[in-house]
Amino acid sequence: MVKPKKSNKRRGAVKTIREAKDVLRIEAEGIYSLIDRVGEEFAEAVQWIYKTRGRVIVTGIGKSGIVGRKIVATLNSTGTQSLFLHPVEAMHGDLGMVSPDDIVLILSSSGETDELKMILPTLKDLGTRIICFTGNSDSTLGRNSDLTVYAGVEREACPFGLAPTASTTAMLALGDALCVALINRRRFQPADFHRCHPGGVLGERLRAPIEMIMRTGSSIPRVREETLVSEAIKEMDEKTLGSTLVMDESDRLVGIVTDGDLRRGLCRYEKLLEKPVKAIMTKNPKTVYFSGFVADALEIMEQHEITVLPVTGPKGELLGIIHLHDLLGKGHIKFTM
Amino acid sequence: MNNPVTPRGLICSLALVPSSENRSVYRSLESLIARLQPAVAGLFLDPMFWCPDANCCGPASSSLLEEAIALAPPDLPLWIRITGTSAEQTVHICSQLENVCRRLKYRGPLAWVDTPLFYHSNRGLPEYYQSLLRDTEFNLIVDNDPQLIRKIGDTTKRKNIRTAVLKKLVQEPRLIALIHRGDLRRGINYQKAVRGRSDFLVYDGGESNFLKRPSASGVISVGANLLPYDWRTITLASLNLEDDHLGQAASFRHLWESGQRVRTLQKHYKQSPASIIPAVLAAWGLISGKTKGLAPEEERAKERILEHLPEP
Repeated sequence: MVKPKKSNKRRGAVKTIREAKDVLRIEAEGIYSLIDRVGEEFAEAVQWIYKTRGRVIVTGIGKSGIVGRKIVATLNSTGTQSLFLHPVEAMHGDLGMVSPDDIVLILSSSGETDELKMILPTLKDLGTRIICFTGNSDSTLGRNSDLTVYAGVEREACPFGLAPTASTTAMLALGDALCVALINRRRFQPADFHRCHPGGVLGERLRAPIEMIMRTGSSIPRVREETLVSEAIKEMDEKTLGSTLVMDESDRLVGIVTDGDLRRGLCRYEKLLEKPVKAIMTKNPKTVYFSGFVADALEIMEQHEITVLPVTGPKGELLGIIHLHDLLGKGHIKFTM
Repeated sequence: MNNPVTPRGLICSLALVPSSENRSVYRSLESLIARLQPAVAGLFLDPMFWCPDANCCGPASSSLLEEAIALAPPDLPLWIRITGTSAEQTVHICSQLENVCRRLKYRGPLAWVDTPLFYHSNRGLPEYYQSLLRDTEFNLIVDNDPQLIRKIGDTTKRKNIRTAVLKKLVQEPRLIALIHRGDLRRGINYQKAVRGRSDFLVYDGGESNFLKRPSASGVISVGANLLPYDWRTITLASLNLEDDHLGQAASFRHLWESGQRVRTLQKHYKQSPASIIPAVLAAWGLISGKTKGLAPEEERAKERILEHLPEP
């Protein structure tokens, strides 16, 4: 009696796994099929939003409304002012939030959503530009928008439209594509991200003052200009930052020696170990001010493709040093292209 | 913009039984079409469905086809199967039907439907269709029906159109859609293969597939003969062609009930739709004339359908 039960359970599991895979396949293909459909109108939409002096007002109802709220959140957190407008509330006064400078982004799979069709004439009267994400470009909303971006899919994973699946996933992905395209247009930087994300682990780390996390005192690798390279290597090895700072006689920062400088030195000098570090150091290294934020340091590191930054005080004196790993732990988070 | 002959939505495959007493069938054909017209996006005339036993009712089928073309509303896309038992016969059927359309001055949107693997191999299919399309003014819809091919019993024959062949086929602009009746994964692969053609649609030929994971193009349904409005409701909802959030609760309930009715009936007729559906339509008085004699289990299925739906 036990065996058949087990096998039934197993059969059930196999069926469940197969169905889950089918759904994921359908949803993945839904997004994949949009790749070929993204065209000039999408680029134009990005350009409009980038150039506008107003905000992006996102509207949609049902599952599209939920997708719309997520797009609003992503736009706001990546530097594009955005608001969600519920179409029903819009009809009861919330349309007042829309100004002619704004761009309205309408989300509707069918392009025939009654509530959206009802607010369309008012939006047109306002002179607001309208972008529509829809799976039906030949619909009322598709035809009457200033820009229509196709967001349809080839198949849904759930019947009867009771729970839109692939179509909402595709719309969400298209919204993300819009946000990321805007991030790149705006050259959105870590400091900007930090301004928008005071919360969360990443936000917390980025808003920390540099002086709080910098290495100080004897943990700063440093040598004099005349120190031999062999000694400098020992210092680098001991302090494990992959570099050492070079100070002059008045204890002013004059250079930095990194693993890269050593490699270049090996190519240039036959007896590198006997040379003074000033022969191979990089002069006037990039620095960061002690009262800045981690986000500022991260930005400098990314901009100049370096991993170590000396921290200086008001008179240019060396106060500490920070390494990329100190900022991000083991993670790799890239903000700029 | 879609081709008018391939609308997204519900295409109803007419359930008819050609017989020597076609006169009475003709009369009922008119009322059946009138009943379906408001609910469907297109009509499909499929003699292979009417007579699964090939050549059993050739002349009767031809005259019924002719009558159906004459009665078809010109605003409704009409699909007609041209598949014969060989390439030559298919070309011949196509040419004959084209003459019928000319003679009847048929003006509506019309496309031919063909299941090529029934008589042809994958090899040379693109060239064959190029030649077939040269001789006809109407566009073509390809039908991939592995079950039909299986019935031929040739184990060496491929049951499905190869995806690579489909890629070549869609380079022909007058080949405008595919009806796929096989498994989901193949359907997805076919959809991938035709992505270069944004006007090309892939319809679900299998009702069960559509009821589970609906294609965004539409479905070819024979069950729509019984429940045209329920099929219309679930097709429009599945294709995201309508939004009704104002009456959402009522609309969801309606959708759910329509879906349940369609599924229940489909469970009963799916073993032999070509026999059971006309028998039910006849029992309702929607079609007259002799229907086929039903096997005992088909008779039971008909009775169960009539228990659920005593009248149309």
